Amino acid sequence: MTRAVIVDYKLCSGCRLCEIACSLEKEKNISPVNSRIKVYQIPPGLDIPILCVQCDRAPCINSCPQKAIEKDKETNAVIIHENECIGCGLCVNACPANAIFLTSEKKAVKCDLCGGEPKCVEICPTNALSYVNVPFDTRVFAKKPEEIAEELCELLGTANRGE
Amino acid sequence: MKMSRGGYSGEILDIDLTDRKVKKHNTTELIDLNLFIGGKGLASYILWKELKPKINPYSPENILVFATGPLTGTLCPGTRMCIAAKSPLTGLFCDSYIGGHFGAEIKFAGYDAIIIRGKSENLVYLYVSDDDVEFCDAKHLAGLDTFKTEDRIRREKEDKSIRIACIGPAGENLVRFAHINTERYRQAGRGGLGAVMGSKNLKAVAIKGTKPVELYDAESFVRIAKETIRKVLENETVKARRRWGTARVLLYTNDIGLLPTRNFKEATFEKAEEISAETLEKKFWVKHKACHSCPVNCGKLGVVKTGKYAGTVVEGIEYETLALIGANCGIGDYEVIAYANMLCDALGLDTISTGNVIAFAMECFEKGIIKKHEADGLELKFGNTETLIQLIRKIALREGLGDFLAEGVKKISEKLGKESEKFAMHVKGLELPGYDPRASPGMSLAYVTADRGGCHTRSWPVSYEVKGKAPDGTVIDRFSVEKRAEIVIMQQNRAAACDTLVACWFVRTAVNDELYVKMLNAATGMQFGVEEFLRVGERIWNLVRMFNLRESLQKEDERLPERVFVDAIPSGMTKDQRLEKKQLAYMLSEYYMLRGWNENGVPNEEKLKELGLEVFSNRRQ
Repeated sequence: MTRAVIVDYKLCSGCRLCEIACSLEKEKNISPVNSRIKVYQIPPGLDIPILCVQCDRAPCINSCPQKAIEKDKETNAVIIHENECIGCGLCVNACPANAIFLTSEKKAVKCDLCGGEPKCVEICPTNALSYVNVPFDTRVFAKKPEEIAEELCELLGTANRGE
Repeated sequence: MKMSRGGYSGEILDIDLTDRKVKKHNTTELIDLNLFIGGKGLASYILWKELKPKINPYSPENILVFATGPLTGTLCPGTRMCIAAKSPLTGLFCDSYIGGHFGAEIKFAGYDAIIIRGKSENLVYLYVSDDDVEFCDAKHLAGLDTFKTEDRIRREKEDKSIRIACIGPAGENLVRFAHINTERYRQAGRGGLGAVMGSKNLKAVAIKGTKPVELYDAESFVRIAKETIRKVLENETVKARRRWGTARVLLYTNDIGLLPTRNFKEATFEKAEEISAETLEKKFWVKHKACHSCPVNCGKLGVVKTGKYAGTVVEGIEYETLALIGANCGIGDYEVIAYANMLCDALGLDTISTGNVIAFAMECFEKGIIKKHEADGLELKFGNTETLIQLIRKIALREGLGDFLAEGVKKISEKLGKESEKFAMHVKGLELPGYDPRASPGMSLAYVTADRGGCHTRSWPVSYEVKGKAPDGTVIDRFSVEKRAEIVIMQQNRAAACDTLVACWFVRTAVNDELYVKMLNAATGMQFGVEEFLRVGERIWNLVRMFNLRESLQKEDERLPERVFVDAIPSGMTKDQRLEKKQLAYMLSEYYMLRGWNENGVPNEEKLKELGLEVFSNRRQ
């Protein structure tokens, strides 16, 4: 079974503590631009956290010409081996959720679940993030921020989306 | 050359709109951080040092400062940004604070502050992307509301993560209480700083940063910040604030007879229940909202679901808006207030001043001071929702009567005469927030002495008065004047100190000074003690005092409108209350004395020396 970080978008307040916690863990400084989880602010006031959902059938794995991406045997996280990454960006395009990005050093990076103790979940003050076992392919959760915003708008009754 | 100290970015961006020149200063070359720390300290020092005295606030010589603090953009819960300039509403120093994510983004772009001078020939917006500053033509954004302005700039720059501070039509039209808006629903609301932007032909500042914020001792800092977050979340006041936001205050102020109603004629509102947090929670709110790195999420996103204004989306409604646009205009329908709130945010108006101005106009109409033929065909009656909505539009666009009202309560009443100044509810030109001074002697003193005019965020002694206990445990009567000067001074100094970091008002209640100082020291490598930290607050308070005296502030300006002394509260828990003139005089002279100021409110030489401000005393008038 895949264990992944699942988001309840209604509960996200947009505080971005998760971005800070992630960059502190991964970059040893506060740099949200390098955070593996990113909170998008979408009109008319929605906050959409995006991070890898660790798909079972992961398109990024297939897209990598270097075979640098694989599933971690212990955590089931989709892992990019940094040394083998050539920064071609094919995985970035392949991801159905926009959850992979290239750093300024041209390395593809993404959430690796912090080895099974995701720091974003730990710090989230609203319980919008939870680390759970999922009995089906988590790929159903992989959506782009705009798609999620569309659904959330409907749920909250905010038809007015701005420009 | 950048310094290596943590917490700070190390550079200040200095932009002249007149000749489109951009300079970068080393922060420590511009200011002694040990004396002023950042935020309010930084902004007030720059304005003191560089602003030519007695200029017109709308002249190109006015300086607008966007200042962060050393904890902005870190893991410290609830940090904001300070925006300051000389106010077109008061003619005095004005600092207004804004949440959201803009302040943090300034840090990520590599700056501690942005100074904006001069005046652009055409309407422009600035795009700051790390080291680059672009002057972008904004002709196509002229007259656009703040929501659309933000959406357009993000689309133009093809980046959803850009943070934008902008003005609406009100700012462009130099409405004296126009705000600066970010992320739709967050404003530096008070004092007309949006009009200062407008006077500079500056529609927006857009910013994108990709740099890290460094920390002097990251390990200790993260440990203390996490402990602070935990403490904040365990605090009972914070728990209520997380659920109900500031709206929760409304039934409290109503019950204790403190809620401004119908232009401060009354202090309880018969429809308070209908606009309370409980109502909003049941019918309006759909989601919590937070500022950068804040676990409190006091913001609430609401959607109007029924009625004429169905489909309106706005974050709020904050207490001050419920009080001033709602009760103070006699409006008891939260759907109308939500729509008015959204209009103010989009058009660029401060809801506190707007609510006051409209309520004042309504009372003038009631008394025949504004005649029917002068009212653009509107029925200027308390509780008239159509009038409220029309006036908000007219003020922002300076149309008809709106052009007159766009000047703020003080100037309107001066023009109207006919004793209207007696119920013109402002101090030094800044319209009063949601606490009736008659029902709180402490609040009266807080308003009269607040550095930016009638303001509640420098000192809020209400809770001590209602509990009947001073901070040192002394029993006090709610309506007496004892201990008020002491309490107000203590709160003002702490507020100014916290405003250097820039720590949010609502988080401060749960975080003591020791924790703030620990975070400050771990982030920056500075070595502050609590006493020294609070002394920074006192230093800033005195520096701003000197600034305001230089701008010709007089002791006579430290007063309240006649209504406070003459018209007793007609009903509710504070029935028959009014303030005696001699009570205010007593509190004020005690305040001056405890501050180390002379009988005219001018800081004594010894006080300035004690605070390390003696170098400024020769520039005193």
